[in-house]
Amino acid sequence: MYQQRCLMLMSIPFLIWIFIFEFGPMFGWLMAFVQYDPNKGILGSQWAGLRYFKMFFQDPDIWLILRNTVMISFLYILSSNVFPLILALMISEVGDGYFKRALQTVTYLPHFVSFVVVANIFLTLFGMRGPVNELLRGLGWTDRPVLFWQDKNIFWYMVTFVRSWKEIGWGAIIYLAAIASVDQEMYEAAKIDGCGRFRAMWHITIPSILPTITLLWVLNMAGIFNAGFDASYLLGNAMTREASQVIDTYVYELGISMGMYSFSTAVNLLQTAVGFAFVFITNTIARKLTDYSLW
Amino acid sequence: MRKPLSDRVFDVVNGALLTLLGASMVYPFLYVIAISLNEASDSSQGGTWILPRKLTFESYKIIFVNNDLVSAALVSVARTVLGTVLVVLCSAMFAYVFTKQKYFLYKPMKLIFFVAMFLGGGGLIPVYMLFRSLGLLNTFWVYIIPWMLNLWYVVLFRTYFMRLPREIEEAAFVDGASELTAFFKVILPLSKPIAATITLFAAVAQWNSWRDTLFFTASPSLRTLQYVMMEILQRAEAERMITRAEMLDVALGHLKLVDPMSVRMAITVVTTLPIVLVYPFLQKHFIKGILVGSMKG
Repeated sequence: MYQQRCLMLMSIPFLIWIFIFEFGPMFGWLMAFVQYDPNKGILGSQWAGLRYFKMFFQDPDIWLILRNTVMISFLYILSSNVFPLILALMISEVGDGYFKRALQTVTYLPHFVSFVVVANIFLTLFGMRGPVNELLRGLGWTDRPVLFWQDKNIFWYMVTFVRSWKEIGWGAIIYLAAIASVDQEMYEAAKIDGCGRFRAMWHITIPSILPTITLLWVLNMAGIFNAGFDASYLLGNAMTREASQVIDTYVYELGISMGMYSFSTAVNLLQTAVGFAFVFITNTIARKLTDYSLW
Repeated sequence: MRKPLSDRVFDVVNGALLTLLGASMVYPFLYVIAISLNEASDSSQGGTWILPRKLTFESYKIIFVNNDLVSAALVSVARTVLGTVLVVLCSAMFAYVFTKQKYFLYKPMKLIFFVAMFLGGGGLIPVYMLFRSLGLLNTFWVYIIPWMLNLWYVVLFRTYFMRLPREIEEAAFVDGASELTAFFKVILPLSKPIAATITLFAAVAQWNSWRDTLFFTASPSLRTLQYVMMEILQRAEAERMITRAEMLDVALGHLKLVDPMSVRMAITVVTTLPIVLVYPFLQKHFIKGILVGSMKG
């Protein structure tokens, strides 16, 4: 043990850190089951059982919030799997060179920009006096400004559009790597047999990268109850509230702004548990349908 | 051999679509720059698309002398530098210990690590309560200490370290070096590509972070650039709400809104510029980095 004192020095502080910052919050989940009193701590507070979970389902707003959460995250999961795949297929058809590299550089860039910046840009671009409205007016398609951000009927799609714009290039990286590792001889053979580009994509590329596609779908399903705080908080406003309020913003408002600790923890816990359940279910379905799965 | 016609048509259409997509990625940034350099009163009349019509640096002058913004920028820089250095060093060091299978704590460490990776952390409120009981709320350290170690970075570092040739390190041990010396003098210098990748990720994450300011701090002196920008954005949106009644007037041009859009866009440029500047240098490393991680992890 003495000989390994240096390794101990290099690891024990981090193990302590893990206990505090990774396991500490796990203990905090208990707050959902007690009537939390900050002065008495979690164990000293009065047991509340499932009261807060019941309360959650009695909140008249809850169905609206659940609907928004599931719809926003569903649309995003769909688009964040489909668009990057299409982009990767398109990029991989371009020969190596400046164009390809430049394209990759510009499509990855938005991933590194904060959502605050992105929200700022898109609220302006699609704003009342933004270039999009000017273009629409210039083309004569509309004579008064389209209120993209004040219309609760299109809010989900606007959010999905902005998030897809930000992540499409980044999401394509992993597909591009998978496509690059496909055996090139198969394409040569297909070409000799007179197989076109689309058919080669459909019959060679897609089946070859199916494990990657499956894996990403399964992993993404964890987020089905996680519509993201950023988009709703930054892009939503009083007029779109009916469509923008999601579990994450709800937990923040009730928990931190209003101090309803136990209740918002219960909501948070439900959200996390459902996320796990969804990964499990998708994984099972994926295994049955495609023979590929996470475990 | 000439390509068949269908192939050439495919290439042209594909290239055109990709060019369009590339343009849609670049254009929003160009627009922001144009507005930030355009005269505020002129921008509100619309028609500014790519180039500023009346060039002025007024917006930048305004933000560079604003004390709130300068202080926010300093907080942002401080948390980015300190937070990045710490998370890279700590994650690398912990990952290094994870390559020592003879270490007597290796097995329990591995178990703890995997449990933490799959089940660790928690929801917003448990984390908030934890920070409160640790006295981290409303201090600068809430930006640093909870993000000092990143389990994902540990995996990336470990994967890289495992592929380094054993002999180099062994030679250092023969010379009487301790593991700590070997880590700093041998392993880290050999791991520049992965260290560069993770430095980029960590620095970008720190620089872009704004939710922790919103959740865990209240003091104005702890505001970061991103947070201040978020506030300005929310205020601008709120003002737009109030004027909704006059919307028709605005649309018809009877009423001009005074929206400090140019200033907002100038802040956006200043906030985004550091990322755009470091990004190309590190880009070549990061793709390799994440792919290694995704295959092993």
